[in-house]
Amino acid sequence: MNEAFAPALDVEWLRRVEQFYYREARLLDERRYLSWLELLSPAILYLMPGRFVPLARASAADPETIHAPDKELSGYGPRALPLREEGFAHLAQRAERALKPNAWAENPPPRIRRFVANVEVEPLAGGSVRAWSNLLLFHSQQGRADHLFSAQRRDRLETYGDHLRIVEREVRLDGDTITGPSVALFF
Amino acid sequence: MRSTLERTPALPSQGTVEPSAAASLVSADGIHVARSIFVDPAIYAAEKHLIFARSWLFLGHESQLPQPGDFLTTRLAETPVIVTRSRGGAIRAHVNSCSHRGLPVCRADLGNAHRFVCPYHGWTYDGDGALVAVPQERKVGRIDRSSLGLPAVPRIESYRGFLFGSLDAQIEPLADYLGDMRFYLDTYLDRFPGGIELVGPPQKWRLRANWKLPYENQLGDLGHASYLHGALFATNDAGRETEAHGFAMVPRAGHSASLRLMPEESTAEERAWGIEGVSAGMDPELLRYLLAVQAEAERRLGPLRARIKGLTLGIYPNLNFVWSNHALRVSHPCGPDETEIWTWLVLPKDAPDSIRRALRGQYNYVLGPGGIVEQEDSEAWAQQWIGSRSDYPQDRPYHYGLGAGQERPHPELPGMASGLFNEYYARAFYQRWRADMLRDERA
Repeated sequence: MNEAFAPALDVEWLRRVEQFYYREARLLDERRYLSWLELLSPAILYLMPGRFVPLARASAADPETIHAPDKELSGYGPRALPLREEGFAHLAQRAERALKPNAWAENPPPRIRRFVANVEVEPLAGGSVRAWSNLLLFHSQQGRADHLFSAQRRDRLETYGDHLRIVEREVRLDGDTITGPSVALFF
Repeated sequence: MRSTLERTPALPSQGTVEPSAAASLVSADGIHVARSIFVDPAIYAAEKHLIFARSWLFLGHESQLPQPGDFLTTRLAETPVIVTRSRGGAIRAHVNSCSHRGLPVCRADLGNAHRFVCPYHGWTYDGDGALVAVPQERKVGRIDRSSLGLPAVPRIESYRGFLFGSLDAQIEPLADYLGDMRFYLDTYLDRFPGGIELVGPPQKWRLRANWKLPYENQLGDLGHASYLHGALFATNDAGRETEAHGFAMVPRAGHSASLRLMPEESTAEERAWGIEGVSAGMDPELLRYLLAVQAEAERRLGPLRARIKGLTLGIYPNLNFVWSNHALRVSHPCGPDETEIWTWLVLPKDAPDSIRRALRGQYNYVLGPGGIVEQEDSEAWAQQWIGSRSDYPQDRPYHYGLGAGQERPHPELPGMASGLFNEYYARAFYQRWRADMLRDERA
């Protein structure tokens, strides 16, 4: 996907992935968190890097890299501090917690609407696919200012039976300082 | 993304709170705390010059600036600051604002540089804050650059690698300011023969809440977990252990250490730092590491300090260390009703990579902007803002009286001990706040 031109479009894959994302967003928007867990591989890796402002360094060899977004990301190495790095058990605990009446950040629950756009797919061997998408998440909750999160998602999806499921998701938030109430949400 | 939380413009004016008014905001015993101190712009303006400009504030840790030329940008309350390690190796801190038109001369969060150039007209400063180039001099002749360097933070001191700065040139030495808080810091730091380091860049998030509430919570509010976090913690082992052995020590009003003093007959597994985040030995490698650290700690700390299993340390006015989850946090004030929390991970320098990742998971899954627990804290702090700004109940101050009078000097540990649910740690904090707000501005 580093090339400026996309490869020939695989319409069938694109439609499948788009429909998967729309259904996923609707499940989450309708607070059906346990149903959403069924869309995840038990081996899922759910990642969210930290983001910061580095000192710009020009490269004569490759001028386009001066402001490459990768340079702004914490990464996940042993000397990094990402925002989130979770597996299925973490996400399941979040899902179950969010449905308890004394989970006070969710009661009353936020009204969230997820808009998924700019979907690109790259089919891989073995029935899996790499997918890029943009996510706009509208968050409204009693007593709070409304909030928008903007993010890029980088996913790997795999075929499981007749369906797709998420094997890896990286959520790259665009905000500088996080001004929303929390990023402990399902992006 | 910023539009929904309007930024409060910085007010250059000094506070206009009369001393008599300040005295009425917090009762002398610290039990009654006026709601207005969490929302009133005039009180906030007074806090900026009576508390933040006259305290030691956290700047960074020496591990963040290993090489000459390394820098980081931070803030002292709302004053933007660059912290540098100069060519000579000394740590310096200067206001990040050009003497010409005030733009920040450094826009990065961190990096390595020996020159800071203002984008507007090219005025250039070195790592010691000196104005070393004014391009316009070619046409208009030399100016007196010696008086136009970046304003220096007048006092910088380090305690065991933790760098603090103060805008008050006359402030007491950092060691005195910390007082017996050093005992509790040492009890953590002495565990690690190789020292600790801060891992960042820091997570930064902005809450609609006054800075005092997150700070106060982490001074020793051990009592809220079973309620606010009941969906997660109602009946777990850590909660029972805190009920049985948890209390807060106040070595000096405004600072606090909440901890569990484990019984003499407790096992290493029960005492070890970090072990409570390991679910039933699910990570045998981490378990072995933590037990090895504890064995070393027993040798280095002696029998009393080895039984201390810390929860939170607080250094007045706005630095917290969450010992149990390896996080250092600053509550930067951004106006009376906004706080920007910056958090770093704190790790032993010599911890192996796999251990570093495992310890990190004990922080970032639990606390911070994505934390499953912290989302409820930030919710509570933001909801308090609603209660604080309402006009009608302003004659009903907040009540910090639980356990009043039950605090006692501890037979073995320095400071006043207050048991679980005793809010002495908070009363002492608000008494310190009151005394600072009443101090003579001309002194």
